[in-house]
Amino acid sequence: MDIPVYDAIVIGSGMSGGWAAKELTEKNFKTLVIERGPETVHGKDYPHDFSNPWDLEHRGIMDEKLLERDYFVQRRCFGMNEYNRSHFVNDRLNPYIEEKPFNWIRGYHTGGRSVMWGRQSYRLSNLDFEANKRDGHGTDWPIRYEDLSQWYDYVEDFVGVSGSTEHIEHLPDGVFLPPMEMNCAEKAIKQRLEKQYADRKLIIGRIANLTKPKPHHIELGRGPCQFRNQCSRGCSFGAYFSSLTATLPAAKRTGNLSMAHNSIVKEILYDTETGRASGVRVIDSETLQEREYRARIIFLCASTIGSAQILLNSKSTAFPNGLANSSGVVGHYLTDHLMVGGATGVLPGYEDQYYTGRRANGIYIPRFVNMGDNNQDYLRGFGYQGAASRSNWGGQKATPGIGVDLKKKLHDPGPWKFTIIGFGEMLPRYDNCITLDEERRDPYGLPLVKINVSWSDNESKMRESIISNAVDMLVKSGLEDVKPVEWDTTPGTAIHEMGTARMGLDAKTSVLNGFNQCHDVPNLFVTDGAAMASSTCHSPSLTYMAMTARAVDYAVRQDKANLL
Amino acid sequence: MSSKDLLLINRRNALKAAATVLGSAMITPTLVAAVLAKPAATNTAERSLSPAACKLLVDMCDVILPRTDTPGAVDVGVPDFIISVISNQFKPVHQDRFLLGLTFIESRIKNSSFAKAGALPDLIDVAALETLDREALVEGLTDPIHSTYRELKSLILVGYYTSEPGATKELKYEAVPGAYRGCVPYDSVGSAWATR
Repeated sequence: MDIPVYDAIVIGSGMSGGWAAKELTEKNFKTLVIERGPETVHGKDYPHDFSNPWDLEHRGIMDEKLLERDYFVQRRCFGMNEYNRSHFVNDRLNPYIEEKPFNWIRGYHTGGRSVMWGRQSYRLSNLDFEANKRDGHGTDWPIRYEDLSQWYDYVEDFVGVSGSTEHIEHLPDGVFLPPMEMNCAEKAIKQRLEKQYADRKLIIGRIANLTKPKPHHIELGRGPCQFRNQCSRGCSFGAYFSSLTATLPAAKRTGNLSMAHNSIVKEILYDTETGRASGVRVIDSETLQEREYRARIIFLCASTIGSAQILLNSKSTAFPNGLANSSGVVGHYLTDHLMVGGATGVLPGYEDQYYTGRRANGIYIPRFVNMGDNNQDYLRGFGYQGAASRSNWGGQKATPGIGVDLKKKLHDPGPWKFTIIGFGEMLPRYDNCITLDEERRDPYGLPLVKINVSWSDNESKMRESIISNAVDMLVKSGLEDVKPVEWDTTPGTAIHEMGTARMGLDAKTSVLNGFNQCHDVPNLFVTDGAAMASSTCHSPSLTYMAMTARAVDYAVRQDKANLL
Repeated sequence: MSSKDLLLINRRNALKAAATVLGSAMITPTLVAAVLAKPAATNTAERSLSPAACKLLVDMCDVILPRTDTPGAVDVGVPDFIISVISNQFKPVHQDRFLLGLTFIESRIKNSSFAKAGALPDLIDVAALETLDREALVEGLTDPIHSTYRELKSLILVGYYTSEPGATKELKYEAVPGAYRGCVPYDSVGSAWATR
């Protein structure tokens, strides 16, 4: 049988794969996107998009037996619920080995985790890109903010990022749609906090929801945010960015896109004569038959752990330890974010004020540690996400009393509560890695991924700092009943895995160059979180998108010049 | 009514039991589906509540969130909801723990003088329930009776405020708000929002 040949293959249809598909097809490359999961159709496959609470038989209370049997890892994710459960993998059918506890939260379907992502969208700055060089942990990023800024502009405009212009040097402004509104309590706390701390700002979150769609969003069938705060169920309004709402429809309309679903990549094939990747071998998850596809450019966007798994399993005489792994660092330097707590308190007063609508966004307090005169006994930094709201019955289940009095109390909302949770940078360390277990196999016969990740002393010290700074800020801003939020979080819980095929200047110590191109294999690009040379403290998806668009631009120019 | 009446019974008897206790009008299509839809006796979870436990739940729902000028917990089917959650969503060890706790609650709050007289055996001793509520939610006691009470009260609240009347008549609910306004006078809303 003839092996299908394309100009380009993209492995994975999530955040990065969707962008690779869009950019390649728009540059007239016949492109095949390979997705290991089944097809998910925008709208049709959002079973609870329009469910009211009373439409669910158990009102969102999940079946404990089902959770124990099929979602024993995914249930550890703060974001999974009965309304969006169909977007998360079945753990029983998708095993991996936790050498140390690690929550690998996944979605195997068209669009991957872009369907359920948190949508917070921040640019990195040179505070981030220079961090490895400054303190010697990790390999120096081969790029700087100047290399990426125009690509941030480009992807933000297409994505539709709502946010406010703030002129913060280490949190660069972007191409923003109108910001969402802060509520009364947040406005008051912002004013007090910024008065107390000259080095700190409290801003509205920057988020990939359309507050005011542009014509090019509407052309793709996307509409404005309806403020339902249920994005992860899927949104038929197309108001939040995902591969399903934006990049894949854009790719499809070029006429250059093909999709292969239920196709689990076993390996990327390597041609020793040309020194190039020649194609991909997949296992059909329904028939267990193997198939091959060929292309002259391959974009690996299977997620941080998934992409490393594929490289490690792509063995040849030239690359006995896995494709593009002459450095031996594929699978290593795995990081997540340190999401381990913060503080919560009550803002007195404002009880005659409330809000309408459900804002799927919060506030952000950008990093202030280890900058300027601020020096800590640990490296790197963190920012806080948070929000103020008045609790309803759900937040007041512990209200004492019974009968008419109880009903009366729960009729009104509680006081204004304000909570902030830190997102901290995790140092890249060689020991934090994934490897393959050749003995134990998944249902498709592939070696199981073994994950071995732990926090270091730096993270422990930063954790203390995240919590104590949060408490201090809330107290100094006049909040009452301030309590620390202290979580004993397992790595993986922030769902920000990064670093397993890191960028670097030196092919001996890194996998990718500054264009996400494998040092060892010129026509193979890795543009998902695997490429990240450090985790920074920012939600990373926007950076994957910008890197992907930039890498495609580069790859296509190289291809035209016959350099691939 | 003795505590052992609250022990688990087979799921296949659950519908009959519920019908006996609640009257057939209380058996919603939802509960029927929950009890009958799954094949019987496929595993140990195929169990449900005894008539006595069902009755206790109805009485507690009625006392904790009664009918006022808006519907009460029993009006909106909260007992059915709780029975279905225990029967279908709890794992067996959780069912056992919960139902054991319920026997403790029953022995504390059932009006013993009425029970002894054989008349109105279903009335709840409201003063005893208030004491239990205070112990569980003010003093924060952690005995099985208190943890079960907290869990049950939470289920009553979930069942009520996520019901259509609870969300839309007692509180306010908008499926598609369309906009967010961060600072509005509370009086223009008038109650807590049912969903966040």
